[in-house]
Amino acid sequence: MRSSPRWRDLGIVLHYTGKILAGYSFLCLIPALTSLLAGEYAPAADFFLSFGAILTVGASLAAFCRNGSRPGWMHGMATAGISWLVAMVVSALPYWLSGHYLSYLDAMFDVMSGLTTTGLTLIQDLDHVSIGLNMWRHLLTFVGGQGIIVLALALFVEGGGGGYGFYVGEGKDERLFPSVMHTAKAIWKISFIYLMVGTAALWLAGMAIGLSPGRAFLHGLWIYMADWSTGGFAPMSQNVLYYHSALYEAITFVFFVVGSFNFALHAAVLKGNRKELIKNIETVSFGATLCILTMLACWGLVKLQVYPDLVSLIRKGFYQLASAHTTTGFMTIYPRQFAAEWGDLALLAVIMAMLIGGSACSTAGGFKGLRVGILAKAIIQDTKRLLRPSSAVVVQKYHYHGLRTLGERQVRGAALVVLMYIVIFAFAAAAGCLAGFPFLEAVFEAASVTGNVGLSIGVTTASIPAGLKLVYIFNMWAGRLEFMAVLASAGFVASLFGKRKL
Amino acid sequence: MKKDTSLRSLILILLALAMALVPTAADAGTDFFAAVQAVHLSDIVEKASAYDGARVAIEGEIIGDVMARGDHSWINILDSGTAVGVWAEKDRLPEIAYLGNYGAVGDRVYITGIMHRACPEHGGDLDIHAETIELVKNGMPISHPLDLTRLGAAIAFSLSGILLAILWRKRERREKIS
Repeated sequence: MRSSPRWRDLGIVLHYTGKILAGYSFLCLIPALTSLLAGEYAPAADFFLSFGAILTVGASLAAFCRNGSRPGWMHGMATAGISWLVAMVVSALPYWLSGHYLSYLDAMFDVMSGLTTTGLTLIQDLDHVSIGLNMWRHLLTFVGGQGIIVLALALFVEGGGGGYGFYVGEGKDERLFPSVMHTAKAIWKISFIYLMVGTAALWLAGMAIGLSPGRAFLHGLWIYMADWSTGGFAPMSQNVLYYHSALYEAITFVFFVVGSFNFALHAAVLKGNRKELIKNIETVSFGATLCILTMLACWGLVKLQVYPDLVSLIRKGFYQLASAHTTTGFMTIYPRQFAAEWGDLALLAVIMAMLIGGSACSTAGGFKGLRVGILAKAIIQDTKRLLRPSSAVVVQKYHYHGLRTLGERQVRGAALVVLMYIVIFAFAAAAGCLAGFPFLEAVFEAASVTGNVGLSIGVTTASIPAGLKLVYIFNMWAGRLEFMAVLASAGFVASLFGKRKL
Repeated sequence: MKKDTSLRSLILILLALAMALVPTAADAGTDFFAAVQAVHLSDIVEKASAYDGARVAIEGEIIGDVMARGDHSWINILDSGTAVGVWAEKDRLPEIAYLGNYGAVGDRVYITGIMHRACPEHGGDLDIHAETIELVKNGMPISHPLDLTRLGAAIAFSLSGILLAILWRKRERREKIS
């Protein structure tokens, strides 16, 4: 029986999903070896089991789902969307085997939270987690920040014509080099350079604040991984508050801000083009919104006399706001302190910061500074049009790796993505209200999952309804992939069962 | 005469006690004679404003690390899923045998101290400045035995995965040549 073209397309998508999974399975060897070195043999067996299971699934798909065709744009997009879902299901295995989760759904929630660099967690008894499992948690968030497809492209997936589709499908559209594979490799090179610098800085800081050298290194590595990838996971349940250190907070602040910048900006600065840092529409937009929202948050906090002095206001108020704006999710306060102490105005500033997020083509989530900047420029352009004669031609320029002219296409693209973010944000907020949470708390948590932030007001716990967990998983996935791959995957699956061919 | 001497002795003892207690109370920056409230850590976090500046008594497991900072140390105490930082003079810390982590249940301690919702000394941290720390119960190591079924499954899956990967790569190479 001849298969229809649609099913042949599925074969291509599953083949590349298998390839990505096969490469991804080798990540399990890092926590497996870490566990062996730490003398944790039970977790080591779990990670070897997970490695074997993921490799078996991946290699089976790669070996048996094939027809020799090269992937096109649509295949790349659908593969990106589906790979993230399959990766979520298989990566939850070590979590589930650890016994620190109440259900497999909770384990999948944490995987999606890690991969999308959100940072919300449903783990039980985090303070007694093995070194291997902590390595896995932070590795997932580090890899997720750069992108699992970017990893596969950098390592061994040739991709062919669909290579750019894979790349764009993962929420990145900036080419550092003409070749997508070279771009993927460059992203990993940049990340590894910062990994060494950041880990060393936090290692030294860890020893200075009283951690033993071994613990300081592991905590430094893990915190850095979550920091750079704007992930927000931490090895202890108190998050960054555990360290009670202004030095540690200052270092994490520097790296999460740097991590929220566009990889193309990093490449430009590393090549010596430092002017891009101050001219780029994204850094200008980030600086402006950070200043405005900081003032708003501080106004609210000072009005309610939440913090006794300026130092406390910076270490608590500004740190939380910057963590929200860069979509990191590191916290130096308890989730319930947001609800009980911060007041509506400061919470509004944090919610807005979470939705705006960091830069495009970075590890950060949210609308992205580029889109906010483009929409702001479009408003300026339209205002000028209103004020000038109807015959006047108003040209609006913006700087984004060179001076560009603002066109309808960019404005439409930015507005559509922002609109879709708002739709899924409203959807998650409504789900939170339906689950019985107060409006402000439901909105706060919805902004956190949609923007892949990870700050919590106390809603996200293992006891929330399964439906709400599924909504949050969907929002984290859709927000991270910036909708294109999600829409492509949905369209692809629909086309398999519908009459319309791709 | 004897009665006068006893009265004088009593007054002297009371004065000495008061002199010893006043500086401690001043250090704590609070009413020393305020009652100690035994509370759960989750309540301290949930109702931080209500306990701000109060003398509290908590009990929990020491987790993670003892982070020395000069003549003080930070320890973090875990009780029913909530952990809170405790700032303590090094001399007041008891001999700690186990810190809570994957390999051990940490020592259980009873702490009295002043709770701060936003500590001005520590950059707004929610913390407790310890006045007394007593060891309640020694911790113990936790064993995590290797599950042989899982080990067997790990070997089986790893072998099947590697064999399938070899098969896939061979097929791919053959297709490239043809």
